[in-house]
Amino acid sequence: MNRKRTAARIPIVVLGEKDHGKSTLLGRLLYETRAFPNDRLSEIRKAAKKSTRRFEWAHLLDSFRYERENEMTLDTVPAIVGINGAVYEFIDVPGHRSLIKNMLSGATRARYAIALVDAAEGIKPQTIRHLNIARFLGVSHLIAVINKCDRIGYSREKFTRAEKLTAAALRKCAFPNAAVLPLVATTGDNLIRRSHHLAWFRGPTLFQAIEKNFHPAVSRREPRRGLLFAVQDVYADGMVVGRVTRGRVRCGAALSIVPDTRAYRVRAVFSGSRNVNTAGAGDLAGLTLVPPPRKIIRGDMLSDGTIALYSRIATRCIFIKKPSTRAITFESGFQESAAHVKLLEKRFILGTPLMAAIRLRKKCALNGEFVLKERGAIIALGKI
Amino acid sequence: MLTRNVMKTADTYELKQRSIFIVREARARFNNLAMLWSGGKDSTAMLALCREAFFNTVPFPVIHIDNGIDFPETYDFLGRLAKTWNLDLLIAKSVIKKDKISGIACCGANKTVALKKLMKAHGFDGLIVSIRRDEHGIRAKERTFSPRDAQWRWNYQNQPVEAWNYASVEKDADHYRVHPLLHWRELDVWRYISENNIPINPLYFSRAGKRFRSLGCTRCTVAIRSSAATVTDILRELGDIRVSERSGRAQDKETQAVMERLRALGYM
Repeated sequence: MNRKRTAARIPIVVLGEKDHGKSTLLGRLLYETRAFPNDRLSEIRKAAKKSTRRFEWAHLLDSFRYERENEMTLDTVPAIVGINGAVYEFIDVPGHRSLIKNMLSGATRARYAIALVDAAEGIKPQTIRHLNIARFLGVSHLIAVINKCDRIGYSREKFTRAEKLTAAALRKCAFPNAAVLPLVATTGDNLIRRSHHLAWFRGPTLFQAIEKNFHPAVSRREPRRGLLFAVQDVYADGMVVGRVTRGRVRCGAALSIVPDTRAYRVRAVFSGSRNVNTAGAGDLAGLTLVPPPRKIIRGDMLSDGTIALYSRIATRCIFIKKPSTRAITFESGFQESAAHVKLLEKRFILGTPLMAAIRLRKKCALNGEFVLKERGAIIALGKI
Repeated sequence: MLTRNVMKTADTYELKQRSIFIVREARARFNNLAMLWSGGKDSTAMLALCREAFFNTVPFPVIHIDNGIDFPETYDFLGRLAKTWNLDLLIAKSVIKKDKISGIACCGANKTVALKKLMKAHGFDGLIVSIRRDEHGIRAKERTFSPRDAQWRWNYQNQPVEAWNYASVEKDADHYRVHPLLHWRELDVWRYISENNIPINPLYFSRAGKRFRSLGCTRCTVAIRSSAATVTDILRELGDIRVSERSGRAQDKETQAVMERLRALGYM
């Protein structure tokens, strides 16, 4: 692919305790950036008039009746905003502790985060949990926001106190350089527009901070590393489809099916159904090999060198459900193995990174993220 | 300084990669996969994406739910493209009762009954549906792999976990809805159609000052005022539009919470 790729979406998760204003912030942002269709907005206003509840900015994202009636977000939803040539994907997640599985379903897509803190309530244990999850997931940059500054009378002193406490919590959760800004999400003060109520604040608006700190992923020049190709499926005509997880695959390259040493030559590389000559790390690709391998299946790894396979892992996982002792499946890329999981911590806590020892029946190549499943349902997220 | 610059935004490459990954994953995970095709732009773009993912073929049956009152242009388009792309086209015949033309009765009950019958007869356990999040607030909350129970209900209060590219696929579901286009916006679909010259239903292009922006059957779809006669015109038009795509669809109105009820009942 020689075509220059324009900017991809910038995924940002909005974190924090329930009722600290996550959905409200995004609803207001959709409104102010004109990213929400007018007729849908007036439909929502009409629907609110007919119900017992007032219209809220959060209704732009909380579309279930259950969510509006209970004034809480049940499930994650992205809000896409295109501004100044960049496309942001803001991910709204539920703050409620029992909904951590829905929070993770949204948060795993994010590269950046905005953490909300209610100016009057301050940092809550759930805020810290969300920050720890963001750190675990590898969120690279975070902006903290002290929301509902109207509730503290736009007071500079009270903001400064909240800012200090927030900065301390951020340092503990390993986000030492995060900016802390004042905001009123319901009115949009310091969201895009500067606020005369917060005239004492010299820092940027939230949107300025977003534009300055959150950028599309740039494809870095890859270090010369051995090729690793994960097989997603093999079709009847011998086409091997999958993802380049490391290095670069080229026409004519020699590779083997790990841990076998027999060599195959790459005859053609496809992107979609188009014949291209090469595919790089992260790309999906189709390969034809000569001679056609007699036995190659989903989960196989192709390599041009040697790679290590493991059957024992000790790493941190976030559990959504307490693992049973039987029938757990480990999935990494397209690899699958029966697994035995043992917790290495005294206390089991849902939604918090915990050390676990995992024994695999089948040896696997390890790279990055994995999940544990029980009866097909994801019960834990892990990283290596 | 805010400028809405939608024409030049995110490339379809990333979106396409994710969709191709999802359909290949669906094919690997389900024993008996099928896809819904209305003849509209989204499911037609989805067919083209399947042809990219599976090397110029669509390796599973394509279902059209026919209530007998689609536009003649749609029938013509379906027939022509099914031939050109060599599709295994199945028709789920739904009956329209004269007295009940409403979102719930017509699109919900009638079409769903027809689809249920056909899916049961063929034993499909995975169904690719080309819905997008930006169409409607309720669709926005969907998962990529979304289970339906024996009564075809969508349990939206307890959706399965999806983390990174991993999806939960539980054994006790009746079938899974697979949504490879969920993350696309209307504009993205048109950009993909434009970049790849995908054949499209002529009703989307302006005739006598009007065109369809979203296509259903003849009874519940309303044309919008537009002079957009080409895909490029449509892209230009979408760059400066503040009305939602499905504004001409009766079933989507918030006041009735129709969409939520329909989806919970297994409707697409």
